[in-house]
Amino acid sequence: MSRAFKFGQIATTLFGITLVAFFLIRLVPGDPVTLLIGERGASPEAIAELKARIGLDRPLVEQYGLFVWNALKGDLGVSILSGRSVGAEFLERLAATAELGLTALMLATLVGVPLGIFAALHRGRLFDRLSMGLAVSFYSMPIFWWGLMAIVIFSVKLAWLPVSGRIGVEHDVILKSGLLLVDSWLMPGSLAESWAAFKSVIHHLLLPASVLATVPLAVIARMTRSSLLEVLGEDYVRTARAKGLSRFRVVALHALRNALIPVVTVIGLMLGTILTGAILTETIFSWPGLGRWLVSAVLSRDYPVIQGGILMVAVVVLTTSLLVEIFYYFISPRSRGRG
Amino acid sequence: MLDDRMLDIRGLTLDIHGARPLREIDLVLKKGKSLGVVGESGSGKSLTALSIMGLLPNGAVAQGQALWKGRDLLALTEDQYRTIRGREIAMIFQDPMSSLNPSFTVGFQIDEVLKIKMGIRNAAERRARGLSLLKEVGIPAPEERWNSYPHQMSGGMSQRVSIAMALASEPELLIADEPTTALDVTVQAQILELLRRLIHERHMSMIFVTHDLAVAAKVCDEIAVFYAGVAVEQGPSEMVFETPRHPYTQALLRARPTKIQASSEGRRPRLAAIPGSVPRSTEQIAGCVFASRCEKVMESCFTKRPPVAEGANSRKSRCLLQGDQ
Repeated sequence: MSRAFKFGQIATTLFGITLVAFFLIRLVPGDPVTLLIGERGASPEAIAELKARIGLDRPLVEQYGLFVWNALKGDLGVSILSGRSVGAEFLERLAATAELGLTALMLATLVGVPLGIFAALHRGRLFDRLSMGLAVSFYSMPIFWWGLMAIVIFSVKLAWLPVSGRIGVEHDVILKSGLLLVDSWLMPGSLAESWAAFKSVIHHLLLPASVLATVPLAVIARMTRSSLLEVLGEDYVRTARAKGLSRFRVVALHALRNALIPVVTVIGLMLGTILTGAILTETIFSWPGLGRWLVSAVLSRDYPVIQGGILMVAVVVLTTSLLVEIFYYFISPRSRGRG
Repeated sequence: MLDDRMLDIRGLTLDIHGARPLREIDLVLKKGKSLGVVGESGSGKSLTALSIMGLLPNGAVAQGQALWKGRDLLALTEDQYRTIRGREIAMIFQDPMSSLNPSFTVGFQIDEVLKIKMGIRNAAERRARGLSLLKEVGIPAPEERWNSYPHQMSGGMSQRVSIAMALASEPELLIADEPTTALDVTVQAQILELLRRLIHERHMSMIFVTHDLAVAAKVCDEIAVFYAGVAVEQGPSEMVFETPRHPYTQALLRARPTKIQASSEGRRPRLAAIPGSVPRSTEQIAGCVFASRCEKVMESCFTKRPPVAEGANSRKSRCLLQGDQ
């Protein structure tokens, strides 16, 4: 695929997203002004004045054009509710979601890949059936159900892990990178305090990250298993065995190197799933990330936040999938073509 | 006499999930000789090769013996096997394009053998050896090829690399499983010539699996003809080709399309064929496997399993007609 084509594809996708994000929310009944002032007791003049201030009195097409024009200049507008810049709010929230999402993805990969390998090597045996059955149930149970169950068991009944939030209130972490796992080490105070704060962050991450990891874990494990099984039947694996290499080298090097190529792609694609899952997970665990930000924006019809937020989430997803493709290019010699 | 028997397979029988693709195979390979194993698909020729390599599919149960320099290969543990597989015996396969790992360079895949199987520690020495191997199998500009990936090469080039990789461990026996079937005719001839030259120069033995009797006769000293999991005949190439003993070999040679000449009206004569079809590997056969299609069939053929009849010039066949010769 040529670079220009790829670029055009991304641009088209983003354009489509601005359309959907802008018009879809305006089709939903209710508007921010009514929600702000309240339906009763507001004078028509007050409503009209507020509308004019936000710019909602202009024709829809003009509003859309303004949104796209400003977005191209890097300005996503201000939140109707908080009055703060959408871009700045997005970045703040992005850090919280990234911390949760990347931890979840790492968890899903670190558990899913070995699980899939082990299941493939013990194909048809008890472990294989058990783990793959579990994967299906991970995949098919709704994530909010897992979330609530996890809270009931680990937070309420066993009281091992906190119910919500990103860090205990007693820790004075100053947001620098936005990632508390990093910022806990940058805070003023002794190393012991940092360590305590870091532990608190891990503690708070564990439950929501595990819940968010369920679906990607299931997908990654199943993908690894089927990919490895397929590769183990390839001619070049037979060649590797015929060369008299150890079983470990045949599986871990010759087979796995090829089997993991599609798995890497799937892991990249799971980023979208993670962001979707984050909306539910963050709501359940009161995690101050993108998901909860967007949900509350929808509930209050905060148009600039919704359209800007969705656009930025799309940018993040497209960027990562592009990165995955570039990475794929490096790990798969065949995709580099002849030459 | 016994000394020059490098590989001596006796009564090799294979069972896989209720099927019996190999029925008491007997095969002898002498030191420095090449043996062509000829048969149609499903006759058990590739499975025999894989049995020697210890690379049988899961669930396969082998009986009998495969004596490699006096040691029974079938009785070896996996660890013991590794000192022989890819070291004393190397193998190349049918489809060279899919037989090389697409994720590693040619150099890596040859280097690996030199490092692990040959124990050469020095990387520069391995590279020098690898390059000379590539040169030996006729690859132009070996230095450039060293860093190539398999998908960047043609089928013939890939097969040459496979051969170089097999030679890297300096094997005493090379098993070639239909090495030219997937290649263009002109490339086929080059690869055959290469193999013939290499076994001569390196004093290797070779088992050459093919479905083409003529090719086998050209390349190999001896030929073994397989039918339905039985080695029905073995002997020196030209003798098997000129005076076949077993009725199956005779029928096979008659069925060759080489003597076709258009008749005066311009119509081609029908090709000779063997009537009937090959018995399935799941069938239980008490007598001779070829009995149902044989034109010289006798009553006893259906009840008595023909023993190996040895004749002059170390010719062997499994036919009741040969018993008293």
